[in-house]
Amino acid sequence: MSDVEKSKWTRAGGWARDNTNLLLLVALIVAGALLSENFFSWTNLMNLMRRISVNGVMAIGFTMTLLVGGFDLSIGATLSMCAVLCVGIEKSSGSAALGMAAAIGAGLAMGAFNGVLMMVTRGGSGEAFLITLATGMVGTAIALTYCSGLDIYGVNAEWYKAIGQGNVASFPIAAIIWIVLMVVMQVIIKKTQFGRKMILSGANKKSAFLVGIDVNGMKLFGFTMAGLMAALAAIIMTSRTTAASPYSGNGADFDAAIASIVGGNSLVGGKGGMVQVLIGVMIYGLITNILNLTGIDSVVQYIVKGAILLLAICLDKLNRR
Amino acid sequence: MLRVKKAVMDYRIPLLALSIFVIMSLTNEYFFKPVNLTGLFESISAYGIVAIGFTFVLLCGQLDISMGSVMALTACVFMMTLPTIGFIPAMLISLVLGCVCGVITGFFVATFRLPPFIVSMTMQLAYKGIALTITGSTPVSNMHPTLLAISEVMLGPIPITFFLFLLVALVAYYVLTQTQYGRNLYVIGGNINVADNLGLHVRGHLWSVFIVQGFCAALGGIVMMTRMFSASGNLALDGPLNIIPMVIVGGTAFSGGKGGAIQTLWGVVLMNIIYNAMSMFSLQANMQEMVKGLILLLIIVADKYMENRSYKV
Repeated sequence: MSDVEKSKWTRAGGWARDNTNLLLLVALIVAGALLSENFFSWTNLMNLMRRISVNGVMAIGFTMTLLVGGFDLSIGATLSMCAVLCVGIEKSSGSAALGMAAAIGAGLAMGAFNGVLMMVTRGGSGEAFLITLATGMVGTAIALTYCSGLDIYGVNAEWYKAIGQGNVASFPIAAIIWIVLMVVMQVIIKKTQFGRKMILSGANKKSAFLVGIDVNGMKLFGFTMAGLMAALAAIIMTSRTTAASPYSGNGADFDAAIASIVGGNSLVGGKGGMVQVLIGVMIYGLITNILNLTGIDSVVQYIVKGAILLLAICLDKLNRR
Repeated sequence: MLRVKKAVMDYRIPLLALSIFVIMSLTNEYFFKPVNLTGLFESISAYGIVAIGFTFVLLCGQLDISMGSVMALTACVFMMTLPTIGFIPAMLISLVLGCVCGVITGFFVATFRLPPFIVSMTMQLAYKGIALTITGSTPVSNMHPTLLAISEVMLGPIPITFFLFLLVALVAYYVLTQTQYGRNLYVIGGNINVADNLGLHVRGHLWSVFIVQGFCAALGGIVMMTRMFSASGNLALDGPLNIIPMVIVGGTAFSGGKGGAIQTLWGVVLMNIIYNAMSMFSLQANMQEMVKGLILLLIIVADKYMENRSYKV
């Protein structure tokens, strides 16, 4: 084998190692196409997009906390809390806009609360994990107290229902919102000075502080964004189901975490972006779809999801070595 | 005077537990009733044993939140095998299974050097999934005569399982303070690089604490069965949220290298008295959860703030 050829193969191997998640996505698409002939139909693909958009929006928020060197486990509880508040206030006041405003306010407050606690403790991902574990407990308790543990059914305005159920030229509005949010975030973190500073503060907070970046402010921003995204995800979710349960966010934080880590966002912060979120959320959605298509029990899916997450963090570790 | 002040500071957790106990006994007519005291001691033992195991993990500066799911998994296996093979073999099987869970979690932390919190989060999901799968998502109930007999052995108002908890705590105290292995754990928790340079087998020690934690979680799961007689995959879902405050309040730090089994013993007693007192004030269950969450939050933030306050970021 000549040197030129060899280097070509080495480069191909390197490319494959750097883009394992992309290869996994392609493999899953092929597997989906083999399993079901309806897979490539427009309806199925659009249904898939609609279903993954809630998790997609959550994963954007989770990735923002990963980028600033944190970790947010409370977004599932924030999702429950915002969903219950959104439908509950809409029902009692009769105005969908008011319900949405309350949900967004609650999400921002919860995110900012996490961010302030992160500033106080000067924490990294370990601290963030513990703090958001506790705030998640508080958030779930607030959701349960507000609705006394019962599901709430809303009186929905047509325009509000359209967010989760409607289409624009047979493309679901929920997916459009998700993609627009991703584009906005991608522009912020990759194309602005603010975003560069944010990524630097996540990659190495000590040197970022020494060059004059407001590291604590970046943490506050990242966690507040996570709360906001959870609130937006709650709005999309409740507008699709026109109901809210205080348990609707259970496990949603794990789903978002798996999606964004499988997509290739690094656990140690400062590496990743919205392209990885797109890939990760699609991988995760396809895996869930394929597991459902093959009729695997929903409790077995816990094991599969756990194994996937473990594999993804092992790969992340090997890539960093 | 100074000596008194120091003694109060050193024994503040036992004193606090004792004073809340006395105040509650004097002000609330239902608190100092045998029924409530039995309930209090019963609630202490199961999570208390797991908290002792968690102390080992924290002392090494590690973290493991999968104990709730390990309890669920081992308790399910215990209850499923109990009718066919009898009490002792079923107990041995679930204790070994608990150790195996610890071996798996510890493998990824110790040899792969992955962050312990995310590994244990993943494992929590997987163990819960396995427990739900083998039970078919239905609770396994069994009023086995041996379990019933154990639940009825009392010393005054104190159930026998509480003494098992005391025994576990004392053994852990002996191991942590009197053996070389225990002292090594403190060194590793204090500074892992120094421990490595000293020539300690850091990887093996890290692995071992997860096995201890798995064993204690399995034992706690079995103890829980002596009063619930029913296991399911969703057992002890709130385990980590209840156990972490107990250990931290006692005085074992998240950063590792500080604390011990007796501190955890008092932390467990204090938190259980607080939880018991909360239900005496007929606080709504959801509000109780919120108070628990706020207590946990306060403990974590205070602990981490004291640890990191000298840093700017």
